[in-house]
Formats: sequence, structure tokens, C-alpha cells
Amino acid sequence: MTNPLRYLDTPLRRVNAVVVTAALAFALVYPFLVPPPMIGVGFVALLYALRNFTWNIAGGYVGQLSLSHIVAFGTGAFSVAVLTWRHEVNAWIALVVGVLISAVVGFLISLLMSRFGVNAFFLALGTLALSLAAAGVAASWTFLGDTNGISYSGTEEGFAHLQWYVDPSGFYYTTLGFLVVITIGIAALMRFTHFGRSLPFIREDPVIAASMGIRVVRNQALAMALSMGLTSIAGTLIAQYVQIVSYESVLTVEIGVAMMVGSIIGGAGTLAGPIVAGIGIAVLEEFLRSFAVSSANVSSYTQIAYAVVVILLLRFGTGGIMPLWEAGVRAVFGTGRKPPAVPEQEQRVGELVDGRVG
Amino acid sequence: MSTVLQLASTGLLQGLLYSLIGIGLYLVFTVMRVVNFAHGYFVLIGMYGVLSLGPKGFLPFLGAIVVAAAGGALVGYLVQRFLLESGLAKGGHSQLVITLSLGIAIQYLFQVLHPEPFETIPNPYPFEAFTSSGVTISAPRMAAGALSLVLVLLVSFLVYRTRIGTIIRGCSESLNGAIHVGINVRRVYRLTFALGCGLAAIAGGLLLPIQPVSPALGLELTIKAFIVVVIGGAGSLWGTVAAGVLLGLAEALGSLYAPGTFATALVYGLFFLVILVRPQGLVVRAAARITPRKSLTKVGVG
Repeated sequence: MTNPLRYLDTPLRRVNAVVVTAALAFALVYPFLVPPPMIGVGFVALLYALRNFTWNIAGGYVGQLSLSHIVAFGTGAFSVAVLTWRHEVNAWIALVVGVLISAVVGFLISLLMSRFGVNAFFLALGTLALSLAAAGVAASWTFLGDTNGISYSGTEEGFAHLQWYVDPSGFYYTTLGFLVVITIGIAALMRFTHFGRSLPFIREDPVIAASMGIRVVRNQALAMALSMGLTSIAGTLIAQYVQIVSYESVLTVEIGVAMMVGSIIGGAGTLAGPIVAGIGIAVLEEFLRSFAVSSANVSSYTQIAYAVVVILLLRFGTGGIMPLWEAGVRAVFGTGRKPPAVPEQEQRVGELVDGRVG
Repeated sequence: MSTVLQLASTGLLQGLLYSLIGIGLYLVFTVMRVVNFAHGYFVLIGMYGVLSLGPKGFLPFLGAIVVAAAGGALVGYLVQRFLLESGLAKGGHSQLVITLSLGIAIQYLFQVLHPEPFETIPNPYPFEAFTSSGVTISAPRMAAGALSLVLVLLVSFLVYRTRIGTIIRGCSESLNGAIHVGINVRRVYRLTFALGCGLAAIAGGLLLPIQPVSPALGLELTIKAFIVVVIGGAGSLWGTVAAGVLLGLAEALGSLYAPGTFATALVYGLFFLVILVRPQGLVVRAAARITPRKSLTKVGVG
């Protein structure tokens, strides 16, 4: 840890460092370069990135193909709608409440499902059923606004109230802040803690992971709690931005599929993939809009594009945008002294395990 | 009392349709172990197929269903051939995401092609409604139930009484065994997948005069098909049929006690519990007792 530049020992790392710095710098000055409506687009792009990234913690690193993140997203939105809009609780408190509820729900779901030895497919099906049940409850319960939804009714704005009426750059920078903090936090978690390093191991082979003393069920549940808790933040932010929450806007299966598919397009289990894919999808949506496609059809075409890209990626067995990018950079600049940390670590674990079993 | 009777009979007939949708998925999911999250969207293909052919009268309606079923089966064949086959060895993950994405693509394709929600066709049958002791059942519902029952019987005949059915069950029992005795497993998978999708499309055609179609229906039907198949268990086709009728009845009678969306939520919640506690299904008894003997013979042959 003496010299941070020592990390930049391979061409891939150097290129990535340059790209990340440039992207961050661009993200910081972006609101000054474009008219206000485009700042809103930037906010949506960052929100997609945040959503995908938080899904990826459980879905990508641990391999829990969960659709219960729909519930987390909805919880974040409904907590701010019920607490702040109806009862004038501070929006930040509502945000924290949403995070806590979602985390507890995620912990319980994962605990239940892994205790009963539910496999990946039944996890997806079960969490989907749960999300649909939640949507059905929200649609018939006046506490959650039933079919009418809940509308914003406050007057205050500013960072303390997490609300800006005219200029969306407040939302933009708040989301950017969340995204950067969460990304750095998760990167550190995955790199420096025993818990974080155990997650890809559990995904690759839960049985061997357990036999090596990793508490599989507990770590899965904790990862799910972390993942769903953070997803709830995205729900709160979008609710404050659009100022109306209903079961149709925040508890739809499309949101869950978008998170899952966005992470897979970017590269499930990679740090940057879900972010790149989230921003890419937002840009694609805006691009389609510029063709004067009616707004109802924009989302249809993006959904189709989403689906086609994912099918092609999975059909031809590539791991998404990030693995392609890494392979490309290495092809151009060479591999340097040693390959980057995370894939190599996984490989080493794999070899170790293979060696011991064989 | 007559309300209950009315609901029970519509529930029963709706349930038979669910059974038909369910056995299509049973063939794909339980027999071939392919996770097809797009199954409900093949029902949608049947519905939109018949809708766009716009049949007037009974015989054109049947013709339209046959055409739609052929279309659904063809799409199913191509999906299995070009998208899923290469991932068979890789297992559930990629199949799950591929078929889920495929379903989304189909849904939004129809959204673009048919922006009008809740389109339907007029009653294609030559009779109107049956009334008996205070219970009224519309002609499309009656006919859909009856035709579903006939098709379920035909499929069970195909699976349990013909050579093709034996081969399909053989592949399900032991893939390696099937390869050893010279069965073209890939072709069997493609054809079974096509059959399952075709059955879903037929169910869609029968459903259209009862339930106006909108693209969002695909997901709902997928989930219902999985509910039917999972609750029916892997034991036999009849478990799936029973679970279909059960779902239809539960939905109809549930609407007596709970408002629409809440009843659906209840069904999904119960399904979640079933997955937790009995992922092997509720109707699995008889088959579970038979399996050990069968696997013994399998070991003997292997």
C-alpha cells in the first residue's frame, strides 16, 4: 500500500484507470455541457447503472438469479411515498427505512430459499411469484395507493429533502454520488474482505465452498440483503424524481428483467459491466427517441433490443461487454506482467480446487 | 348457491384450458428439463395468430387455430434448434435468461404490432350459451373446455400409448440410455419442444373468444403454466392436468372472497410456499413409489 501507482502494473489496468478517470471527469462536468432535459436523461442513465450494479451483487457475484429485486425497488419507492409524501417524514429517513426493509426481506428470502436447497431456476421462479404477489397486494391495498398510486405533495426542495423541482442536476449529482460510493465500497468489499472473496467461490461451487469452511447460506443471505437494500435506494430516487408511485410504475417484472439482463449484457460478476450497460441502455433509449419514435414504442424497441442482445450474448457464449473489452485491450496492448486480479484469482481458486479434487 | 355453482363451473372449464397450457410446458420442462420461460408467450402467439386471421364462423375459426398452432410449433422448433440446443449441456442458467428475454421480445413485438389492448373476436361457435339450473356458460367457454379435454386425452394417448411417446419418455428417463439405443435425441427434443409450443398456441386460439388479448398476458400465462407444472409434479401428465383444474377452481372461487388482484396475489403467495416446501410438486405420490424400481432396471441395462 506504499505507492498506489503500483496497482497500475499491466496495460489493461493502466487503460482502465485512464478510462475511469475520464468517465468520472466527464460525469462531473456533464450537467454544465447540456440543456436541462438532457440532465434528466443523465440522471436516468445513472439510475439504470445503479440499479444494475446493485442487482449484480447478488445476481452476478453470487449467481442468485433473483427477481425479488423488484420488491426492493418498489419498497424504496413506496417508503418515500408513504412516509415522506403522506406523513412528511424526512426523505432521507424514508430512504434508510426502505433500505432496511429491503435488506431484511432480501435476507429472509435468500435464507429461506437456500435453507430449503432451492436451485437457481426455482429461485428465479419463486422470487418472480413473490414479486407478482407483492404487486397484487400493492394494487389492492389503499395504504400503498391501490390502483391510483400515490402522488407527491410536498413543497420543500434541496439536498436535505432529496427533492429538486426545476433543475434535475441535484438528482444527477446525488445519484452519481451514490453510484461512486457504492461502487468503491463493493470493490473494496470484494477485494479485501473474506466475505466478499467468498461470493464468487459460492457461485462457482457451493459444495466445495462449504467444505472449505465458507458459511454458504449465511453469506448468500448477506449478499442478497446488501444487494436488495442498495437496490431500494434506486427506487427512492426515481420516486422522488417522477413524483408519482404506483404498483404499475415500480413493481413490474420489466424492472427486474431490466436489472438482470442489464447486468448480463455488461458482464455478470464484473464491477464495471452493469454500469456500462445501464448507461448504454439509457443512451440507446434517447437515440431511439431522436428518431421521433412515439414514446410508447421507444420502451418497446429498447425492450426488444435488450432481449435480442442478451439472447445473442448467451447463445454465442460471451460473458458480456466487460470480458470483451478486457480481451480487446489485451489484444491491443499485450498482457503485461500478469493478468488482472479478479479473473486470475478465480482461476487460481479453480486450479487449486481442481488440483485438490483430482 | 348458484353463484358458487356458476363460479365452480367456469373455474373448471378455465382450469381445463390451464391444463392444456400446462401439459405443453410439462412436455418441455418436466420431460426434457428445458426451462421455457417463454411458454406463455407461445399462448400469446396463438391468440394473436387467430386474431389477425380474423375468422368468421366455426370452421374458419378451427382452421385459424390449426394455422396458429403450426406457426407456434414452427417458432418453437426454431427456438429449440437455434437458441437452446447449444446450451442444453450448460443447464438452467442460460436457458432461463434466453427464454425470459425471448418472451419479453415477443411481448413487445406484439405491443408494437397491436397497440390496441384487449382485442378479441366475436363468438365463432354456432350456438350461444347454455343455461341449466341457474348456471349460464357461454359457448366459447364450454367449447374451449371440451376441446381442451379432448386434446389432453390425445396428448396422453400420444405420450403413454405410442412409439413416439415411449421415445419421449425414454429420453426423459435416461438421456444416455436413449443415446445408447440409437435415438436421435436432438430431433426428439426439437419435436417435443415444437409440440409443447404448438399446444400452447392451440390453447391461445381457444382462449381468445373468452379473454381479450393484450401483450402483458404472456407473462401471467407463463407463471400460471409453471404453477400448474410445479404443483402437478414430475410424476405423470395427469398431475399437471389435475393441477390445472385446481388452479382454475381456486381462481374462480377465490374471487368470491377476495378482490381481483388480491386473489391473484394469494395464488402467487401460495405458489411461493409450494416452491419452498415441496419443489417436487404436490401431486407426486404415485410416481415417487414407482421410480426406484425403474431406476434399478436402468442400472441393470447400463
